[in-house]
Amino acid sequence: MAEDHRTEDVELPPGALELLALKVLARGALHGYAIARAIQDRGAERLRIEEGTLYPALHRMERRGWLAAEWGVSESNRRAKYYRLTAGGRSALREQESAWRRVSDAVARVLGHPSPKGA
Amino acid sequence: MAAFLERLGLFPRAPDPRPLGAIAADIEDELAFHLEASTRALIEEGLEDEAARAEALRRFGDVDRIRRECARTLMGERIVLQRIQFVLTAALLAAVVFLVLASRETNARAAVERERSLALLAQIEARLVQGEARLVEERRHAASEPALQPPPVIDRLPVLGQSAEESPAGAYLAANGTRTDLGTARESWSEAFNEQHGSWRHGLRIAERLAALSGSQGAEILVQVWNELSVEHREQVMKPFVFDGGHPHALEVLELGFEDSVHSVRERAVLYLQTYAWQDLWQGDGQGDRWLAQWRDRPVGEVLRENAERWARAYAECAQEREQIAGGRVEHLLEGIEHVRPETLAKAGVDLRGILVEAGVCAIAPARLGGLPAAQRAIAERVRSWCQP
Repeated sequence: MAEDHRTEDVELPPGALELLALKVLARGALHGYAIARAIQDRGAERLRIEEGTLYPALHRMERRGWLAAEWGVSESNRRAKYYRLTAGGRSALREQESAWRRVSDAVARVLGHPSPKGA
Repeated sequence: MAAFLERLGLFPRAPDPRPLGAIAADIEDELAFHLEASTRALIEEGLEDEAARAEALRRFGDVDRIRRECARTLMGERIVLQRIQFVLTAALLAAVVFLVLASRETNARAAVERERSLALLAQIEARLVQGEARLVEERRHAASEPALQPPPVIDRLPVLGQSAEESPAGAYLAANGTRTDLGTARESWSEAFNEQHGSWRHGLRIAERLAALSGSQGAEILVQVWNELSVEHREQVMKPFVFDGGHPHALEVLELGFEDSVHSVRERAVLYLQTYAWQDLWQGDGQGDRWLAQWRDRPVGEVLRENAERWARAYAECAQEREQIAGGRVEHLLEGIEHVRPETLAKAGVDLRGILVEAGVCAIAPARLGGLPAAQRAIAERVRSWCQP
C-alpha cells in the first residue's frame, strides 16, 4: 500500500517539511507522530519523507520561537511532547506559505504550465 | 551569559538551561514514542509485531542520525556556549596570571627603584647634614674669631717681670678674653683646648691659664691632656711653662715636647730647652735625653744658673786662648745660645750679668769679635749687651 506509493515518491524540497508542519500545527497542538500522520493524511504520502527528519525540523522551529513545546500524556497514556504554534510561528507560516506560492507559480510559468492560482 | 548573548542577537532564544543529559533523555523519549506509536498503528493495520517494528524503523529513517541532528539542534548552542565559556575562562585566567606576573615584575622593579631612590635621598640628606654642621661650625668660629683682632702679631712671649696682661701675648689675651674657671678637671681643660683645636692662639691662651695654676697642677694636667691636643696646641703649650723661668715643672713640660711623635713639636722643645741647657741638644744624638735625665729633678733656678756658668766659662776660655774669637768651638758655643732669653733666668732669680762678669765674658774686648761670621757675631754682641748693668 504505502510502500507502493513510495516507489514513485518525490524528494521533498528544502524548507517544505517545516512549512507542512507549521500548516498542520495551525489547527492545534500535536505531538511529533501525530504531525507526521497529519502530513501523510493531507496527501503527502507520495512525497519521500523520512518521518524522523520531522524532529530536527520541529526542534529548529522551537529554537526559533515559532513553536512552543511541552510534555503531556498521549491518547495511549504515554508521555509525549506536544508542539503548538506561537504568534511568531503564525507569522512565519504566512510568510513561508506566501513565498512557497510565489516560487511555485514562478516555476510553473517557466515550465509552461498554468499556475494553480491562475487556473 | 546565554541571556546576554540572546540580547545581543547571537541566539534567538536562550538555550535550554537543563542538564545536557536531561535534554538527551527527552530526545530519546520523543523518538521512542514515535516508533512505538508507528509500530502500534502498523500492527493495527495487520502487520506482525516484528514486521511492524521493522516497517516503523524504515519509515522513520536512520535513528542514530536523527538523534544526532536533534541533539545538535537542541544542545549545539549549549556546547558552543560551554566552549566559549571555557575559552573566555582560560583567557581570563591567562590574563590574571599575566597581570600577576607583570605586577610582580613591576613591583620588583619599583622596589629596586625605591631602594635606589632611598639610598640617593640618604646620601643627599647626609650631605645636607654635613653641610649644615659645617655651616654651623663656620658660623660659630666666625662669631668667635672676629673678636681676635687685630691680626695676632706676637713676636715675643711674656717677659720676665711682666704680668701676662703686660706682655704682647698677655695683652692680646686680656683684650680677647679667655677662660679662667676651668678648675683642675682634666676633661675641662681638654675640652677648652679642643674648642678651637686648629688655632695656635687659642692653644696659647688656654696654656697661659694652665701654667698659672698653683703648684704642679698645671704640669700634671698638661701631662694628662697632652695626647688629646692638636699639633698646633702642642707647639704652643710649652711656652708659658718654659719662658716662665720660675716654673718648677718647666723641664717636665719640655720633656713632653722632646718625646713628641711630631717633628715640629720636638723642634720647638729643643729650641726652648736651649734656654736651660745653654747648648744645642738635638734629640737624634741622644744628648737631649741624657741632659734631661741629668737635670729634670733639679730646681729650675739651679739648672739655669749652672748651665749658664758652664757656658760662660767655656766662652771666656776660648776668648783667652786667641786674640780673635774664631773657630769651630766658639762658633758652636754661640750657636748653642741663639735662642736663650735672659728674661727667663731673671724670672728664676738667676743673675746672668753676675755670671758673665765672674767668668770674664764681659771683659772680652769688642775687637776680638771681628773674626766671627756675621750670624755668630750678632749673638756675641747680644751677649755683650747682657753685660750692661
